[in-house]
Amino acid sequence: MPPNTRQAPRPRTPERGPARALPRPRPSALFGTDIWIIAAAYVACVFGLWAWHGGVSSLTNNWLDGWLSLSQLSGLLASACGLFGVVLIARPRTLERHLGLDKMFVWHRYLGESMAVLLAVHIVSAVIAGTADGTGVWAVIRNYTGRQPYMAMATVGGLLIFVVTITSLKSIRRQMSYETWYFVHLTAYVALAISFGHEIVLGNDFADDKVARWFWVAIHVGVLAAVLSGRWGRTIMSVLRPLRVESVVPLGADISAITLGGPGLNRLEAHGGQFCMLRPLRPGLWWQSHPFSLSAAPTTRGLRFTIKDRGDASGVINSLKVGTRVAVEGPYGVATPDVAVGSKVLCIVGGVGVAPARAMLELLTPDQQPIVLYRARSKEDLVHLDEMQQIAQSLRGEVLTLVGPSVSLAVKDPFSGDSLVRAIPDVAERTVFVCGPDSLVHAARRGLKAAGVPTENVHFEMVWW
Amino acid sequence: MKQQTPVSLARRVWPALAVAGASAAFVSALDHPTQFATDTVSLTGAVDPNTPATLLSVPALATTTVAPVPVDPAAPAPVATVPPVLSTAPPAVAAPACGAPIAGPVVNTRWGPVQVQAGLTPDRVVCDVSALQTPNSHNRSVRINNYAKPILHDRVLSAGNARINGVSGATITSRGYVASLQYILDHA
Repeated sequence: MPPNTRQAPRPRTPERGPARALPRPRPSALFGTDIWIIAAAYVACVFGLWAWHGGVSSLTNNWLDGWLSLSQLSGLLASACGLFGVVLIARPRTLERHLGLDKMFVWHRYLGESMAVLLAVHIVSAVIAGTADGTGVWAVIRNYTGRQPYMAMATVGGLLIFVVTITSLKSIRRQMSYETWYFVHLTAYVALAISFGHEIVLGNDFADDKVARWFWVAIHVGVLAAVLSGRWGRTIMSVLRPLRVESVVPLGADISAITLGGPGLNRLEAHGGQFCMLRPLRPGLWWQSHPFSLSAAPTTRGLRFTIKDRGDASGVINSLKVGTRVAVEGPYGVATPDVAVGSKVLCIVGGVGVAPARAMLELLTPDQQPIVLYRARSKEDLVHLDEMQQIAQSLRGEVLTLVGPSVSLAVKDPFSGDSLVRAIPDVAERTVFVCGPDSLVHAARRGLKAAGVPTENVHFEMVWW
Repeated sequence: MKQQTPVSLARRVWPALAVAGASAAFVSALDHPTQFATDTVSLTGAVDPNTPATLLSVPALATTTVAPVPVDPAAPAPVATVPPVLSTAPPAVAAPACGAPIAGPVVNTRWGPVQVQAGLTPDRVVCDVSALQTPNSHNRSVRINNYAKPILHDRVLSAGNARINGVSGATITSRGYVASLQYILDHA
């Protein structure tokens, strides 16, 4: 790196004083049960609407009413899935602090897939019900794709939902760049918006029932507000108060540690183990935002991220110049030392997944005797090893490394239950953090289960892009 | 450190824009709500108007062939029975001599009863028609029929007889409507 020549002037430079830890994010005001109660109450409302408007009796009335009723119910439930999915993506703070953004994205995926299936049921049953009075299938389809008010928009909305779902299937998603997929995914908002009209005007539950109609409108307005404030408002705030690149330190062939600082730090709350969405504010890059894990305890001196160049945007971030403004959203994630208070700790990390473990290690206490199981492809990929060994030793712990291709390892399956118990005899009483590629996370979770670690003591971070 | 060439936004965003553009095109191509009631079923075109039995023996229909029919007291307009008397408020039709409304038979369809009343000119052209009852046991039926009734009304008036096309999406009501009207024409 060239010497720091483009240091921006900073009116309130926090790093001049001694490094203080940033305030920690407040815990969620929600409990797990609250979330389930809210979700169940909403689904109960949906079923209630359906039953109130004769759904249950129609279902068994005759076959035509049955299809109509099924179409009505599946439509309502598809809409519920869509709305929940959007709420998750709006990442309301209390929900995120409880679930963690990565789990919310997993749920978002399940909800999206369910929505597509329910939508298919909705469409097929509506067409069957439409043909029951003797109208031909083709006539019904033409009817439902444009001749009834708002149905052209609903048809296209449905198609968009299918496009978004199909492009998100893992096999197809892998063939697209993250950003291409992301922009296509954004059309789901359009789909939900243009499908709203047919629900209100033609939907059995809302066309005739004023109370239900206002309930429905209110729910949608509420979700819209959550998206505007949570999703877009947060992005705007992060762009208005960006951090700046203070240093970029190459650690290996394609891994760098990048430190962000500046007065914008004052508004942040962060904890080791969390991650942020970074958006470089530079021509050609401002439209990309990607998650990166903190790799040091967050202090007033700055936030350090360790980033591996996987092609695409991560490499771009590694090559940023000192002084570049970077919008920081977050931090997100709930796998922090808070969940391991009073318990011994084991971190199983793979490759650049070391970052959150490195940040967490700094915040542990000697009675937690942290052990780090560090898997990497080569010696050069073992970044932060010295730092980790130093911290681990001061905490009466150690760092175990597993380097090389799987076939060259001394132990055949290092993450099997037996291997884990042999390497770490007290594994069952430890709180375990797992971070790395999907395959490592899956292998480690299987092995930990076999080694007798209770599931609730295993915390893992999914990498989703 | 190697310099990365940033990928252009245009290259990443065009598939999404293409999808959005195709969506807009689809909507504008498909959206014809004004033609909501495009004809799909020709109900009476092939039926000889002198043989109403053919029409009324459509399996879905069971006609109560009682005339004059007792009129539902809740019906909006008072109905004169067969000898016709002049209506106090003549409908806004150009033809001067529109007879008083005559109630047709109740036609029981699979969704419920349909009954119309119609006024005829001396040369038996329909100059006034309205539905006395349509299926109303389902909200959906009410909605469909509220939509279909004015269309059927307009079609009958412009045809002057019962030889009209049904309203798509309201086929059953259309059949009942036409059957009840045809009976008036045949027996007036």
